[in-house]
Amino acid sequence: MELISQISFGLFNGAVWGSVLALLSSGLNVVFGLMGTVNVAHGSFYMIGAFTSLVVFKGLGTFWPSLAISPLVVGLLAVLVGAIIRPVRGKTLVAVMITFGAMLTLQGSALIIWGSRPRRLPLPFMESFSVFGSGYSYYRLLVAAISGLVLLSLWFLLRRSSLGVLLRATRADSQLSQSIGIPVQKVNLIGFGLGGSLAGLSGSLMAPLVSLTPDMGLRIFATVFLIVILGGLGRIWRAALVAFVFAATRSLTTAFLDPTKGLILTFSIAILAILFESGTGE
Amino acid sequence: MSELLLSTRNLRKDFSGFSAIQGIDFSLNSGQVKGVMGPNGAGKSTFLKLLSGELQPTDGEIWLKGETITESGVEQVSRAGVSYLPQRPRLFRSLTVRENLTGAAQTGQLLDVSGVRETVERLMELVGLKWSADKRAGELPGGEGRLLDLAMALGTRPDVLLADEPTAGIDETSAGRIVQLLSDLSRPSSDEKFRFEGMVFVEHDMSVLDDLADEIGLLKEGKLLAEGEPEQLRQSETFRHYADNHRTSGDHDGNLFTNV
Amino acid sequence: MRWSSRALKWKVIAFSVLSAYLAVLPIFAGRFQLVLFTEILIWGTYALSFDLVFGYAGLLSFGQSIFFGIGGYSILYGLKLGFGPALSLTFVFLVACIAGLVIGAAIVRAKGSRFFLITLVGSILFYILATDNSWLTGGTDGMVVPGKFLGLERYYYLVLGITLVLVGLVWLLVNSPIGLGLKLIRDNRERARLLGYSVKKFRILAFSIGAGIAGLAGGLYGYTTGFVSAGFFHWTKSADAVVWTVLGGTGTVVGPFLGAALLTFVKNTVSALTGKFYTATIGLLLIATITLFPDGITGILQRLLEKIRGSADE
Repeated sequence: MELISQISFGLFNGAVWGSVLALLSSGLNVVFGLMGTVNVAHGSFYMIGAFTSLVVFKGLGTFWPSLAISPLVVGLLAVLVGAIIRPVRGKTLVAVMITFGAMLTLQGSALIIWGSRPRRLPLPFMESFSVFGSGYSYYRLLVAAISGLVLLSLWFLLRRSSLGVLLRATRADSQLSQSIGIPVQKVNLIGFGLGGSLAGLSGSLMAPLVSLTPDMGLRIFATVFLIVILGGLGRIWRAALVAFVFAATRSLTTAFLDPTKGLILTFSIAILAILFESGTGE
Repeated sequence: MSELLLSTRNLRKDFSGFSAIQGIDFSLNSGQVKGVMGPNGAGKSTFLKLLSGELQPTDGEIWLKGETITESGVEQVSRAGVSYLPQRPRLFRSLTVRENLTGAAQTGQLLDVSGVRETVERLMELVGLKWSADKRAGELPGGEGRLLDLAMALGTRPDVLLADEPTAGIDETSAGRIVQLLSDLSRPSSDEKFRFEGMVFVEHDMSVLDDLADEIGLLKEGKLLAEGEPEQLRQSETFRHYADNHRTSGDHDGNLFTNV
Repeated sequence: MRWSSRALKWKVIAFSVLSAYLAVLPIFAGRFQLVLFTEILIWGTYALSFDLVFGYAGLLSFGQSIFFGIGGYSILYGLKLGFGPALSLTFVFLVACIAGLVIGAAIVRAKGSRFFLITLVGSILFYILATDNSWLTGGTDGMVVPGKFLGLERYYYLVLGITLVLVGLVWLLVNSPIGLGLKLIRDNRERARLLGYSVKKFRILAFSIGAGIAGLAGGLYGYTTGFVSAGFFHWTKSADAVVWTVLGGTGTVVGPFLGAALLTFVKNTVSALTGKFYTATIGLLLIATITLFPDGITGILQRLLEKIRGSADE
């Protein structure tokens, strides 16, 4: 039963982690879909979200408000970055480099404010339940639940709401949209803000579960970017699916393999997958 | 003297849902200039793209100087001696005119630096862009842009030139220059270094077709309806039928203009 | 044509003056400046490798740190194997070039953002591999490079010599037909292909030469500091190369050196900028440069020169 216990534990964690990765990948895809830019600072938004939770916790004594504050704060930050990128939207590599600069700035600022020593946030509540002999924290369950809810809302937003229509229209053809009278600039910024908020929320959710360092953003960005490419740039829901599969694989391999080897394996496979997916396109 | 340069047999191109080119048999002899005309959507550009290797035919064959190029992509076709001048110029916009031309001229002879330089100078003189040698290609006005594109196409010393509406949408002076150039360089008697052996071009402007083409083909809905010398064609039934159905306006010379 | 040969003459003069200045520097420079300039030359070379791959070949590579690290460890093992310094450095260049060739051949087919991602993940991967295999690399603690300390001056001249040669060779390359080919591909890939240029071959060439140069920089750094560690592979090295090049001016031979010089100088002298503030500062600098002066310092200088020349002509 040890094996079943380990597997189910791995799957559970995979589901939790997968839901967060799905949030993150969706955020990145929303931005890519709109502006055609890969936002390297996306990971930093996640990091800022996490540190916002730290600040809120230290300041207000409780963690929960940060789940509302982070998306707001990070969303605004994202809008700012989006505004800077707007003039160079056409030249993707240049825009990528600007987001790279934003990433450095955010990470550097975090470094200045909090230093490189890892910080930890206590779990908002410690209760856990046990299944097959393993203990699962209720908080993780909550994280998965909240992520799932947000993903569902995102789906509704994109499919059913007028904002969603605007976002999708601009993504499909911004010139056409402009001629119809859609305020493309505004929609782009909203999209950027939305993507950022998703990242910020993810950061807050994960804050009690991981150790907070300024470079946590870049590390997770590599993973998220990977997932997005494997799912297909701009394909929000396929990427979300890939996120779950990826997380499940990671959790299961970590259960049985030493985590570093697991990471090396995952990254190597991912690189091969991307190369394979690229085909012979020059 | 008049060997077969470029030919197609039963050339066909389907896109999902419809057939753009339906079984075209076409031939171009050495020293010949053929014009292609037809209404919009007839498949004229598609035809040229098939010849240049940009599109792959669904069926049929394309031959260049006895070798099949049906499966060839653009690089191979280009190296085999076919240059394609598309409607919209494709220039290296951030590079200077001189660099653009050097890039074209040095293909296949990377090491002959002085030879390349000479070629570039002559090309610039030929199209009249000498004064703009150090200007960025992206800054050139429409007409000069196309002249540059033409010069680049010539720089690779092609045997066959494919031109898609070479005079469309540009100022009269440049258009005139282009027509003059094409006319000069397609004559077998011309000893200009950049002479080409044959040309296929698409045009709407009847006067250009008259000036340049030895023969004109009428393309409609992917089919080559009629072919012949300009005068001959104009007398033919098919052409009259076509002209009646597509006449929208004429210019003050009385030439026929199709609705673009 | 008159213009370009005049500009060329000026460039040669400027280069000679600079070289002369650098050559006699050790005579009146203190220890601190000597080390500083040695570092600037190495980092400039390293940034040049990035510029060749990105500014000229149009490949946004986040993986220069991979080759920097390979270079560092190649000099370590080269010397350990008993090769002399000259042979070891040649060894470093070859190993890094070959690594670049192999990796490049595999990845250049990937389009822009995918390529970027692969190099990003790759650089993280190599860092993890390096820290994990401390038997080979000494992990983050690193290993000492064998050999006696030969004196700051000797190291300075070694680095200066190699740098000047490299700069000369790279300059020749980018002004050659091959360099033009790279520019064509970077400007309009499709049209270049239409003209018959093999995009793949040109990219692999640029990537592997860039790898070799990055490796050489790593080897020199390890050799002159006497120490190599897994930190050589850290992604921050890649970030530095990007910022220095963009700041100095992409697509130029001298730009990377200007950027590296400026930032290394500032980093070492303005104490506030060491440590904590560095990352945020270069981030802001990067954004500012791209949005306000996309041509970097060389662009600014060029425009100044044009203004001066313009008013002189009147």
